[in-house]
Amino acid sequence: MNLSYKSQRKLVIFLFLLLPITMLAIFSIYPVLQMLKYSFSDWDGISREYNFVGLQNYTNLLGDKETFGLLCHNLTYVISGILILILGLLLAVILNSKIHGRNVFRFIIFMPFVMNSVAVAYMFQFIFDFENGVLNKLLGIFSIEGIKWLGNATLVNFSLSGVSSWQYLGFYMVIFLGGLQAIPKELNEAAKIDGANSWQVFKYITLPGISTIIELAIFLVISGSMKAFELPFILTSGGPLGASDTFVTKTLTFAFNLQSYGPATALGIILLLIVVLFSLIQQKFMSKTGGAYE
Amino acid sequence: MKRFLCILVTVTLLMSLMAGCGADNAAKVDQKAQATDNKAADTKAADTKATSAPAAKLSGKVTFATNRTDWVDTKFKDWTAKFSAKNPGVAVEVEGLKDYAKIIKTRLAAGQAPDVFLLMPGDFKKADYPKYFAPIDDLQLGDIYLKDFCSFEGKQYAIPVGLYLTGVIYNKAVFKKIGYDKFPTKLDDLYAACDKLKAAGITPTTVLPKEPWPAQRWTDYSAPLFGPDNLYDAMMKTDTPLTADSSIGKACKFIFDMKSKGYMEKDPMSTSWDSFQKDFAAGKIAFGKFEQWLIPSLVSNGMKPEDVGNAPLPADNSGKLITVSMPDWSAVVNKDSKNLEAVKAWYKYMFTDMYAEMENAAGCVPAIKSASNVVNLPQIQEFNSYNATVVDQQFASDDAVATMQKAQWEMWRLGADVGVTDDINKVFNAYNKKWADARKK
Repeated sequence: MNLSYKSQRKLVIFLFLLLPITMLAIFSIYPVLQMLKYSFSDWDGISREYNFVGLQNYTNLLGDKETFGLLCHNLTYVISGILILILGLLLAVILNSKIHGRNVFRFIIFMPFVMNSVAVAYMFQFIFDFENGVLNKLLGIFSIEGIKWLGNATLVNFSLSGVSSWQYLGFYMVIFLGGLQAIPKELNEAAKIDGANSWQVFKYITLPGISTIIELAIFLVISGSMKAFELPFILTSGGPLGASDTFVTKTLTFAFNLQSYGPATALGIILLLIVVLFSLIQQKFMSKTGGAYE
Repeated sequence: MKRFLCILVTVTLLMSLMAGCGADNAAKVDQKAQATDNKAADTKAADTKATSAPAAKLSGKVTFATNRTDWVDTKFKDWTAKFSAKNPGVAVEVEGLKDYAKIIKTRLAAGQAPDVFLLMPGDFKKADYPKYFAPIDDLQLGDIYLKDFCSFEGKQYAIPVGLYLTGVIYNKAVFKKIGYDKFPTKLDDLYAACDKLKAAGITPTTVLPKEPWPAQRWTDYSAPLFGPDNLYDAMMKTDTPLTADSSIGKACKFIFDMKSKGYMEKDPMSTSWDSFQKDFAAGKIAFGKFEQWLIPSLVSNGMKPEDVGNAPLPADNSGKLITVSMPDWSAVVNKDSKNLEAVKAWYKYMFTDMYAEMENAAGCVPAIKSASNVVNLPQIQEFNSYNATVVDQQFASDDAVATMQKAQWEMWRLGADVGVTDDINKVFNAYNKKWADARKK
């Protein structure tokens, strides 16, 4: 083959991309399109025939108060996610400086992220246990009455999002660490010489330097919170009287317990739209600030 | 030489890429299928699907799926070995599915269901039976209980693996400690016993709101104790099915009363199925509303078989005890099996040669009427000594099922909600409202 260098390059790039894009199309794009199709139908998951019902699934879901409740439950994950983000940033700043044993601390804080979510859920089942769990025994030492971590409808979402935050703290710390190490040290030194204190260094040099990372982290917090599933599914099955149901657990209930694939897929599409909406809002607000020192 | 090496390395890499393809699919699929495990099971099914040579004599592979994952490597290995000894040429592959109910439906929808598998009543509309299952009248296994549920338009499609009689499983040692030789047969006696249990620091019973099967036992499986009419038919006639008078309403009130008097665990959301079995076996929980299938699990969790008692649940103070006969998982033959003869031979084997062992292992009463003497569990004999009246399980009509789906009404969740709430009327009103809305649609 006597192709020019340009077309050879194009051919090579095309061939390399062919496989990943095919797989993306088959395993991600095609199922989403099918999901969109089923969200307009009343398929029960088994039979080969189904009818199209237009926007009925969407109007039912959006008109139902419970759907808004689901959003609120997911929002508790966002709130604790943001808190953990701040804590992660703080830890990253501390562990970026030269202190003894910083690698040990980095390791310890990152460990929970490596653990499988399902295993973590089962572990916390024991920790949250009302009578024999570690937390209540700790409270007992201080003569405080045991708390129903999972049985209290207002507390349950915070308990669950607390677990997920504990898991992801290390992850956010690590990505912030990476961003911090990309900031040139000369800037910090120059600022110190000019007499800036730690807070001013942080506000004027560190924060702008990692603004893209913060953007990324906020997006991860929001999209991850919307996908919250294993913890409510295993620890509370949707919680006392549905208090800890999230979008994904409810989707599963619709699909497998109630054989209603129409509402299940519609809920999935609504979730997708919420995440897209959030990221668009975030893009608008955060692109105003500058990028990193590239 | 260098060029040859180059080509060799490229070819090897390409081949590993192809292998990576398959593994990559499985890995991607495993990641996506976390809790439901659908696609992973699908990939597995694709690998193990029976593709035998067309045979006139019995030969080939028969695939069988079961929810008893704990039996796959033990009992089923024995049974399939004996079957293959009788029918050389046929290999039976038993697959245990952990999240059975969810996976089997997906497999069936994808056309990848095993040759013989189990289903639960209410999972399929009766009109769908001929679409998916092969009729088994030709096997002539005899008359069965609950024949109506298993048949459609004169043809029989399923046989329940066993029947269960609802009641309570109780810890005899614990009850003896508080002075009871038998399980109370009147409601007030039961409350008195529960008070004594509470005083002794033992949790009387439990609602286990996180898993579907425990909570359901208190609702629609209990409703026949409170009223003889089909609870679903009664629900279909009204906009407020949960009242103080309907059988399902009374069943819910029963749980709620037990909870309000403090006879259930302090924080239901902390409990789990595994912890319940261990606590029960250790004597920390006194009784639970379960059927005989729990007995082998309790024994394997360390409970002494002579401490396991089985009795009907008293619904009131009349002294008349009622028990509901429920089918366990029912075995069906996949209509699209590739070698139907071998498959049906395995099916027949399950209900003849293997039957006695299977029933005793599962702890249930045989569904085939002529085989009623195969079971010799002492707990079932004790249960029979209470002379409870046996009534059939009440099934929902197709319309009732559709309305329940529209109303997002899950019987087990109703039981879980009632067992967790402080205000039963709030739960009743919420469910009634959803029911009324669904009926309008």
